[in-house]
Amino acid sequence: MKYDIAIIGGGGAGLKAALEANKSKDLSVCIISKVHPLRSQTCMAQGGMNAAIKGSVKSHIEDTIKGGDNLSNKKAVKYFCKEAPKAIQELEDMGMIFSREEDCSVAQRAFGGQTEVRTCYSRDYTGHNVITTLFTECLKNDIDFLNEWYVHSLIVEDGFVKGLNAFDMKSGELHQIQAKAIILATGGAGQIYKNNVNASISTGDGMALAYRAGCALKDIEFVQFHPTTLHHKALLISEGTRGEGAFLINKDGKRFVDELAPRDIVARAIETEIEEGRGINGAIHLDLRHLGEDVVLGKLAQIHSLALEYGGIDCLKEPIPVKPGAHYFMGGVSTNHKCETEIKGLYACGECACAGIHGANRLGGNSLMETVVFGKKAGEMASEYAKSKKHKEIKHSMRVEILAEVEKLINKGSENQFEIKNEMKTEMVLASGIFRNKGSLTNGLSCIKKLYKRAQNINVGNDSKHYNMALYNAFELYNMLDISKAILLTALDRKESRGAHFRTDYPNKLEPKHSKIYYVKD
Amino acid sequence: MSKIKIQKFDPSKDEKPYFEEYEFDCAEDQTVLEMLLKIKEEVDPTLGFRHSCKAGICGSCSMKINGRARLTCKLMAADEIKKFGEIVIQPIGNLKIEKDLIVDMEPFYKEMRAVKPWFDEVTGEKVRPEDVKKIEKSSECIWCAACFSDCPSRDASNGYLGPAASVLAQRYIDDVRDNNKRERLRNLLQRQLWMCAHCEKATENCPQDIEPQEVISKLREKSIKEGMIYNTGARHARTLTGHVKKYGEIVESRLPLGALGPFKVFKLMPVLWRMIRKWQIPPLFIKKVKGWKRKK
Repeated sequence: MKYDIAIIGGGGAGLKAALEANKSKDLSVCIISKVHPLRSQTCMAQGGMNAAIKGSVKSHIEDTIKGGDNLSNKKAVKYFCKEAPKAIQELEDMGMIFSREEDCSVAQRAFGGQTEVRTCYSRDYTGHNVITTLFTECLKNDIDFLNEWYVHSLIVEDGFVKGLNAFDMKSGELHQIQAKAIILATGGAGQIYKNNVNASISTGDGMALAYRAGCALKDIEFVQFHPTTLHHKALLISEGTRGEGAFLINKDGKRFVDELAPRDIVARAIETEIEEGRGINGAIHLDLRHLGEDVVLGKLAQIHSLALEYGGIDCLKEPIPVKPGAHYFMGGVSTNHKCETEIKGLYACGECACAGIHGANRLGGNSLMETVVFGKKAGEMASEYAKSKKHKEIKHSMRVEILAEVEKLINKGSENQFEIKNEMKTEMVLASGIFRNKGSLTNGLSCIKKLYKRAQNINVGNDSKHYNMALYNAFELYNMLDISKAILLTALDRKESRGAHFRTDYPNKLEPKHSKIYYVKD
Repeated sequence: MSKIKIQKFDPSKDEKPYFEEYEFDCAEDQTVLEMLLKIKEEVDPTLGFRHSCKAGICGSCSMKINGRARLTCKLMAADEIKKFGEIVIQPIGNLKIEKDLIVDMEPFYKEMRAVKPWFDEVTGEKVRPEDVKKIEKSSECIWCAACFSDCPSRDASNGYLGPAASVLAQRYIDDVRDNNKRERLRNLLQRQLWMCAHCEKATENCPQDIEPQEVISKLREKSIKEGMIYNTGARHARTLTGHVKKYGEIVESRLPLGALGPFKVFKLMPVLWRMIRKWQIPPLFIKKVKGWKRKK
């Protein structure tokens, strides 16, 4: 198969990239995704997306840099904040349903760490509405989809990306797809943590693909823990609740933190309350009762039903028990503000990429916006590149090696992959959770190394060709192990506390001139 | 320990689907999806099913649980066991099985696409908060096909779009920005909007509490208001209301003429002949129902 541009991942970033690349009608574009695009992580975003449609772009820039604990790439932040209002207009033109103010403008709500009200929303279904809007727009534009295809590896030769190897999950066939340019838009890797709120497909595939192909991962030690996830179930309870005025309350019925501080601060405050015995059965209460029925049912309908269905809690009558959970990766494949990676022809956007806008901590509402702003940029850059280049001949396809790997996973080995996965998840929470130190990180690293060894000996226990989910799960596990290792290595290197990265043995921030950005390579 | 029966099928090995039984200890707050994941991890790694968000918003994991299409990540296993004593898991219906609990969703997606869920022509109108209210419930649809799965009208006719696609169409028809309302309605009528049998299954199944049946009723009303009355469904509805107004009850013997019109009704001649042979004829002469005036 041959495409001018292949996009891996069908979430917000991938779809937007495809729409942009498709504007050049002489280019062939396809989206390759291991699930149907509507099942992507983007649909889970609730609260909203930041854009200074009324306020000042300058203050959006300042807030983002301050929220990121002064580690952000200023050029990227500037570009991002300037483009955000345009992105809202583009979504609106495609038919996105935003909540509205009385004067018919797009409604905005307050979000943590921001000096102005600038989070545009669609009740608490913002992500769901973004992805349906982008997906249906792709249908309108007849964009090619390879749904339920799993990308195994990128083909990179002489510093150029030339194509990729992917399995059609339905038939189990391995295909080689030649492409002039490839855009990674595969999302985060939340699944490496046990207490994560991410979809089960967030296994860091794109990051690992690029990492193994020779790209550096940047800022990967910064993992955002969302302050409020439903206790026991690890389900996201939107920051929109606090934006609308909900309180966080401890055992003594007292508020203990500014609810609208940046997420890293709120998450640490909650974790500290729980650890020091001021929690309620290992959780903290999120109180929405004083907001009234109109606000809760009108603007936070999904939260109301989530708490009711999964926790048996009617948040109009009782508070919701919450605790922090792994949520978002500030880091990812290192790119500049134009989404270019170190490999020619390879672009990355969305959560899997790191242009550096979030720095050490992301502001709520910036990631959904990031998918559309940088998705567009990646599509634009890739189509410009693809227009001026020809398909390059692939010298070595790796087909034989991949088929041998599959054969080994199916017929040899003895380890149960799910045991390895679960051990990794538990270990990563202990080693590199909200609080870290040298001891926990080195322990974690030696444990991951052991798991690596065991993972070489996996038997998937499934020899079917059709939808052999266990086989793809094993590939995902390899990806997650790679990302885990990268996180632990850089977290060990960063001997300071900044943003979401808190070292109990180095609780202070280094002077700006000593603090640097860490890159990790395979 | 509870009994879990899962329908399995691998097209490369099995001729037809069969049931596999598992004994499983399910925790109080475990969803059916969490139970399936545990079975896959601990007992049967060959099990094939779709899942993604685990939070009821991505629409991947719809399956038939004890005969009804549900979103498994929103369904507590213990509740099902209390109700039925066991859990029987099958793939959703009206779609071809690909492997175990995975079906080919393409026919469903095709119908969603058929309503053209995008703007071709816009009005340029501003959107007020109350305009959003009219379409926000329909826009919650997560394309899980739980409604489509158990729809008897879709089972009877592939010409019928099904509940989800009708809801998706309404989301655009009632959007003040869209300028293609009549064409959309016409398209819906061509795709048998009047097929819906009001069985309530879609409304019962919808994990998002959308009421497709209500939406479809309103679409029908709207099409009549727009003057789209020259189709069997609208004629049927108008004849019924006409009868009630005129006689106080529905007159079966005159219904075919009213619903089908003077030409198509001849197609029913063989039926009439069979009815006469078996002497199963509704009364031909009509008296007004007692208290007709009050009823009116």
